[in-house]
Amino acid sequence: MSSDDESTGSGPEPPATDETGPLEPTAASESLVLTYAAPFFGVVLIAVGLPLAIVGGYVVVQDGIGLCGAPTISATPTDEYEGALATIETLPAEDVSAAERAALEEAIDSPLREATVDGEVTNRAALLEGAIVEYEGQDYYVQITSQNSCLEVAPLLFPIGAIAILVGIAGVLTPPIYRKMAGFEERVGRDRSD
Amino acid sequence: MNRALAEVSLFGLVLVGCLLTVALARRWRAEPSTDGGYARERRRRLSLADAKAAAVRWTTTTNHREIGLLYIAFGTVAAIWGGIDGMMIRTHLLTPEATLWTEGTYNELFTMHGLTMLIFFVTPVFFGIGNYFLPLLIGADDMAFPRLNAVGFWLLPPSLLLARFGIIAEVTGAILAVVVPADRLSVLLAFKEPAIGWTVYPPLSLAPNPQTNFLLLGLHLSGIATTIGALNFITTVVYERDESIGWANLDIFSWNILVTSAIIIFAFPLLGTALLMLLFDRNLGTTFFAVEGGGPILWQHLFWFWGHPEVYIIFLPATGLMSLILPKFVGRKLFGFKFIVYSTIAIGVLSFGVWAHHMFVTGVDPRVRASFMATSIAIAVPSAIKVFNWITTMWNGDVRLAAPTILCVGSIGLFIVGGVTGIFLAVIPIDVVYHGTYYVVGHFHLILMGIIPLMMFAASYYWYPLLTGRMYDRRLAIFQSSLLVVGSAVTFMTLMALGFLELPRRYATYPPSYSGLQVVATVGAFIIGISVLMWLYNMLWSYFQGTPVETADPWELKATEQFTPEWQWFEDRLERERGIPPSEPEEVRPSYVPAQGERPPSLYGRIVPVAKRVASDAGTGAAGGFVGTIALTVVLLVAVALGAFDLEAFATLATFVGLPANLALGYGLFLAGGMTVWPLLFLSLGEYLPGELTLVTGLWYATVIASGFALAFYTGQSGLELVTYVLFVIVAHWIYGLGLAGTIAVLGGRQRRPSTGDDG
Repeated sequence: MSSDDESTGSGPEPPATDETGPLEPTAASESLVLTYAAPFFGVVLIAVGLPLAIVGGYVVVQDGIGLCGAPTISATPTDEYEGALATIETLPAEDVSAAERAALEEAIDSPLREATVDGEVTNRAALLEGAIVEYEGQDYYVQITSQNSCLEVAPLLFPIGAIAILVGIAGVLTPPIYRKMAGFEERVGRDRSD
Repeated sequence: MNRALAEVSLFGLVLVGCLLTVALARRWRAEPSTDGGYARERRRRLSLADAKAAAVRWTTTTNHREIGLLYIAFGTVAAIWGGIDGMMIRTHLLTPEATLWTEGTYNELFTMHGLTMLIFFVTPVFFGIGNYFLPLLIGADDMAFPRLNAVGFWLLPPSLLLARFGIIAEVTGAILAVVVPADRLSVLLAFKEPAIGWTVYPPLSLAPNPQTNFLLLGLHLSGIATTIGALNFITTVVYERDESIGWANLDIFSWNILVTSAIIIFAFPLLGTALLMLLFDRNLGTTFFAVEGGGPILWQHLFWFWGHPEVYIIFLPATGLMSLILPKFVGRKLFGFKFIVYSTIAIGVLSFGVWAHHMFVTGVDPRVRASFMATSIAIAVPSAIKVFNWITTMWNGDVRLAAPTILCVGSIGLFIVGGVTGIFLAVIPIDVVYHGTYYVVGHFHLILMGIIPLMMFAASYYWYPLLTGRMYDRRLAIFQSSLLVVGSAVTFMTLMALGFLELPRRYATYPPSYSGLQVVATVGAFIIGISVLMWLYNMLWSYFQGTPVETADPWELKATEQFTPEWQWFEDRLERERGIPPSEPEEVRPSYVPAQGERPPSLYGRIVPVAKRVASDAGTGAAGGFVGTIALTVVLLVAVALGAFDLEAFATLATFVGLPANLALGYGLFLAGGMTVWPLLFLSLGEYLPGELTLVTGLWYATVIASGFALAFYTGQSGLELVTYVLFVIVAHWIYGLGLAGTIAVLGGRQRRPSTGDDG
C-alpha cells in the first residue's frame, strides 16, 4: 500500500532503516482505524460479497447456457458385481427413453463409464435407486451419479454481492487513498501560503 | 459448469495478475520521476538472447540458492493451483445441493486439493527454504551433491504434470474440440481427474480411470525427488558443516530439516513400493489390494505407515522456522533449545508408531488399537514441549509488532487448538464418533493451515531483505498476516463446529440446516484467499519497488546477539557489492541464556540456592504479610466502629477449617493467611502485574485480592452501609499491599525480573 506513494518517484527513497534500526511499520501520526480497520472491514465485505455474487450470478446464467438439469449416469457390467445385484430391479429395455438409451450407449463406450442424459429422463426414480438394464445381450447396472440440479436462489443476490465487493475494494484501498488525499491537501495548503 | 475450464481460467487470472504487477512495477521503476529527477536505471528491453540465457541459466544451475528459489517458485505455483481447488470446494459448499458443480466434480476437487497441497506445495517450499538457507546457516559452500540437488528439483515439474494431467487433458480437449472432431480427441477426453480421495484407498482407486495411473506415477516420481533431496540434506548437515559448527550449536532449523530428512528416508521408499503395487493391481492383474488377495486394508496400513510420518515431514520444518524466527522478534534466545531438539527427534521416532490411529474404524484388533491410542497420545508430549518453550521464549520478551510476530503468535494459538483436538481424536471412542465428520477436517486444517503455511509466510517476510536486498511493504504485511490468522481461525474453527454437529465429511451435499455454518466457513476461506493474493502482490511489487535495505541487520538482531550466519553472509555481500559497511547497534544486551558454568553443579549444588531463595522469600513475605495484615486490621477496626464491618465474619472464617466459630481463632487464621498464602502469591505473581515499582505492584495486587475479601466477609450490609464496607475493604487492602510490598522492598526480597537479565 505504501509503495504506491514511493513509486511515483517524487523524491529519494527513504531508507528501510535509520541509524536506530528498522522504521516502525506504522507512524505514530497515522490513524490505525484508516490503516488497518478500514481495509479489514473491506476484506470482510469482499469475502461476504463473493459468495453472494457467485450464487446470484450463477442462477442468472445457468438456464441460458445449459449448466443444469441433465443428469449424469454410470453403466457398469453386472458381471463385475458377482451376484451382489440380486435384489436390484430390472428395467425393461422398452421402457428406456431415447435420451436414456443414447446416454447408456455413450457410457458403455466411455472409459469412465459415464455419460449425460440430454433429454427426457422417464425413469428418474428407478435410476436414482439404480437398475439393471439389458443392452445388446449384456446386463448393465445403471445409476444416476449426479442429478445436476438447478440452483434456486434470488437473483438479487448478485447486485448485492457486487456492491459489497466494490465497497470492500474501496475499504481495502482506504490507506493509499487517504495518503494521497492528505498529500494533496498539504500541497494545496503549501501553495496557498506561498 | 465445466470445472476444468473454470479452474484453468482462475489460475490464468492469478498468473496474469502477477505478470501485470511485475510489468507495472518494472515500468514505474524505470520512468523518470515527475519532479525532474532522473530514472534510477536505464530501461532495457528483454531480448530473445536474454531470455535464452536466463532459461539456460535457471535450468542448468547447481547453485543451492538458485535451486532453493526454484523450489519455492514451484511450490508457490502448486499452492495457487491447490488453493484454487480449495476455494472451489468452499464455493461448491455454499449451497446444500450439488448445484454449482456435480458430486463427481466435488470428489475430484477434494482429491486433488489434498494431493497438490501435501505433495507438491509444502515439501517443495520447505526444501526450497532449506536449500537456500541451510548451507548458509551451517557455513557450507553448497549442498553436498549440487548436481543431484538439481536433479531432485527437476523431477518435480514432470511429476506435478503427471499427477494433474487429467485437468490438462480435459482443458486441451475442450479447446481443441472447437476445431477438431470429437472422435479424434477420444484419447484426451478419456482423462479425468481422479475422484478417489487423496488417500487413494482401494477398491475405489481400482476404478477405471486412466488418469489414476498417471497420478500414481506422478506421486512415485515426486517421492523419488523428495528422497533425493533428503539424502542431500543429511549428507550436507553431517559432512559439510563449518568447523565451528558442532552438533551442540547446530541451529534449530537445520536440526529440524535433518530429522525431517531422516523420516523421509524411512517413509518415502515405502510409499513408492505401495504405489507400484497399486499400479500393478490396476494394470497387470496382481491382487495385492484386491479383496480376494491382500485386501484393501493392506493398502491402508502401507499408506498410513508413510502417511503419518508425512504429517511430521511437513510439520517439523514449520516448527524449525518457528523456533528460528520467533526469538528474533521477541528479543530472547530460544528457551530450552536442547529440549526442542530432543522433542524433534522424539517426534521423528514416534511418528512411525502411530499410523493405525487413522484406521480405528476399520475393525483393527482392539488390543492393537489400544496400543496405537497410547502412542498417539504420547506423541503429543514432544509437540507440547515445543509449544511450552515457544511461549516461554516470548514470556517477558521484548515483543515487536511485525508480520512474522503476528504469524508466529497466531500459529501457536491455532496449533494449540489443532493439536489438542488431535489428542481427542487419538482416543478410540471419540474417534469412532468423529472419524468421518468435519471435526477431523477442522483438526488437521488447523495444523496444516494454522502453522505450516503461516511459518512459510513468516520466513518469507523475515528473509525478504536478504533474498531481494529490498524491504517489503510492512503495513501491508502486518495487515495480510492478521487477515490470514483471522481467516484461518474463522474457516477451520467453523469446520470443527460442523464436526461437533456431526456433519459427515466428503459429501457433496448436506442438510440445509448446516448451510449457515458452511457459508461462514466459505467467507473465512475467501479471507484466506484474499490475504494470500495480498502476499503475492507484496512480494512481487516490493521486489521492484521496495525500499533498498541500507543495513544487513534490518531486524536489529545484533542488539540481542542473534545475528545468525545467514545474515553475516548477507552483510559480507552488501559490503562487497554495494559498499555498505557493517552496522553496529548503539546498545547490546544479551538475550536470555540459561546460566551455564564450566561444569554443571551437582544436584545438591542446584538445590541449595533454590532452598535458600525459598527460605528468604518466605521470611520476607511473612514479615511483609504481618506488617500489612496488622495495618489492614487497624483500618477494619475503624470500619467496625462505623458499623460497616461485622467482626463475626472473622469468627465464621474459623469454621471453614473445622474450628469452632470463635473470633480469636478466626482472626488468628486470617493473620496466618495474611502472612503466608497472600505474600507467597504476591511473590509469585507480582512480576506479571503492572507497575515498575514494587509498591505500585503491591497496590495492584491488593486491589485484585480485595474483591475476594469483599465477597468472603460480606455480612448482609446494604445501602450506604454497603458502600462504606466496600470503600473500607479497598482502602484496607491498599494499606495491606503497601505494607506487604514496602516491607519486602526494604528487606530485599525478590525483585521484578528484568526481561533480559541474567538471573532468569
